[in-house]
Amino acid sequence: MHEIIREISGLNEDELKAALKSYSADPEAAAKQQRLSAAAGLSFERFMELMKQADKLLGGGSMYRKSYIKYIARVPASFNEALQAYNEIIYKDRLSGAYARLFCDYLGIVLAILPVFLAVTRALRDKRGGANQVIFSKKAGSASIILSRYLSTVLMIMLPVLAIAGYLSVQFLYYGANEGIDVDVFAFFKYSLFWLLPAVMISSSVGIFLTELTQTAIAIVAMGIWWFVSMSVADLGGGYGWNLIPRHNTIGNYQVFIDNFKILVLNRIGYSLLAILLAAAAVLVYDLKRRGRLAIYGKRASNIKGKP
Amino acid sequence: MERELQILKVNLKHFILPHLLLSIVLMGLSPLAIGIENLDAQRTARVLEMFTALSGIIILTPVCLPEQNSDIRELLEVKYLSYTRVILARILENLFFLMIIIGLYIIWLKLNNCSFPMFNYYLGTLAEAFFLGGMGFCAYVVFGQIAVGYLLPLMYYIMASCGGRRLLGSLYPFSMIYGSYREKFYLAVLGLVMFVVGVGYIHFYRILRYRKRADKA
Repeated sequence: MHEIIREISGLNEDELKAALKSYSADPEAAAKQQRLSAAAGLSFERFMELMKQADKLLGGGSMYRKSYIKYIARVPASFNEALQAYNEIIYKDRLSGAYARLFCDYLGIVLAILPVFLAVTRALRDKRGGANQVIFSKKAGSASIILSRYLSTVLMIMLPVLAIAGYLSVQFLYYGANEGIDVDVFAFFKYSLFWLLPAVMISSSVGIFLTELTQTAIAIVAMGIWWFVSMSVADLGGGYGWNLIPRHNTIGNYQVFIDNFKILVLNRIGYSLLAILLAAAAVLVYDLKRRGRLAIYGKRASNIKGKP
Repeated sequence: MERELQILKVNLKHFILPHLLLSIVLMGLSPLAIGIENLDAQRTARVLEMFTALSGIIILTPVCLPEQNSDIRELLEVKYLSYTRVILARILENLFFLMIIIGLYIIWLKLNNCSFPMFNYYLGTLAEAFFLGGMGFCAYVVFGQIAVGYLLPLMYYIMASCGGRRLLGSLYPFSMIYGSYREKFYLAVLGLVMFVVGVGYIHFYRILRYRKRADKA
């Protein structure tokens, strides 16, 4: 690591030690004071190669990884760049769009894991209350039982989200009217339904499917691992990819959003379809259990069927 | 004593083993998601506090999981050996395995050439895991739902990782990243309190239930 830093900074060991000693809470001031800058003749390609080596030394997944490295460098914006960013927020995002993405960024973290608890609780209640056999014998079809539970879970999670979206829309509308900005009234609703609903759907369907299949809380663990990995590898600035939790942890950055819009649409549609498939699989599992073809508590359901 | 040993054996074989294996697998797979080689003290604290301590939720929350089935719960409650003692024995056993797993992970980090104060970080991570597990156990016992038992500590974790340092103050779980151990002491004490509350709830709730039944009879 020492060799890497020496090549990047062009400083010898003593100079590096002095720089490290004076490193204060304000790294920029310390860098200026010590005249820390990239070594003369260091190309960007070589710099990236050295960062790759540093990441490898730390076992991978560090802050020096390719997808994260842009966040530990700062380039001051010129007046024209700042003006362009401002114009994008006001005229292209119509103010509320820029904030709606940040809203979805934060809420997406919670909504990718929260619904699974509700789905698991709902599905385990039958087991805890010993109500499985009673419900099995009812006239209602498996699809109507499972899908009504699934849809109610999704709806009850989305209702408060939409209520908050409504509250924020009113705030922005009021602010826009005072400042003469043409605010997009439906931005928070559009982003919530497009960005957050698929996450709620997938989390709920994983919960309902795995719980119906195993009659345990394993779905929480499965979703927890998925959530943790998604958070660990997430690109905070719009590199959405196929991540369950697409991050956009900044106000504005409209161009990055537009550049990655296609993959974001594919991502959200893909997860929505997967959620629908899992919900359908949950119906199938439930139906098989009712017919006595899947084990319940270590016994075949057919044993129960035979009882008077 | 012989009975307690039998409880520990059955608990290990039938109930806690999957959770232990899950923790071990997650720890083993951790290099796929986070770097764990040549780390300095601050980065090591990040790994231990934001990843390793989660094993507390996996191992300590489901202490009462077998009693999710009401038939087993009622059967255990009428046994001569106090149900509270069964729970206490299970908690101690789960805690023992948690200590071993976290200890082994810390040794692994040390072998990977990470530089950090081993003993301090071990106790700090254990305190956080104990707190998160205690919260899960207490929530599970009081609400009677395993999902709630997992929900509360995970929400606490998410709140802390989304910049909740100012909000959580002395109960901020990732304090070792900033070089502070004071919070760990509070977390350990609060974790203990939550275990006491959970066990007390089990003990007194059962007595109350029996009195009610006796009054009815």
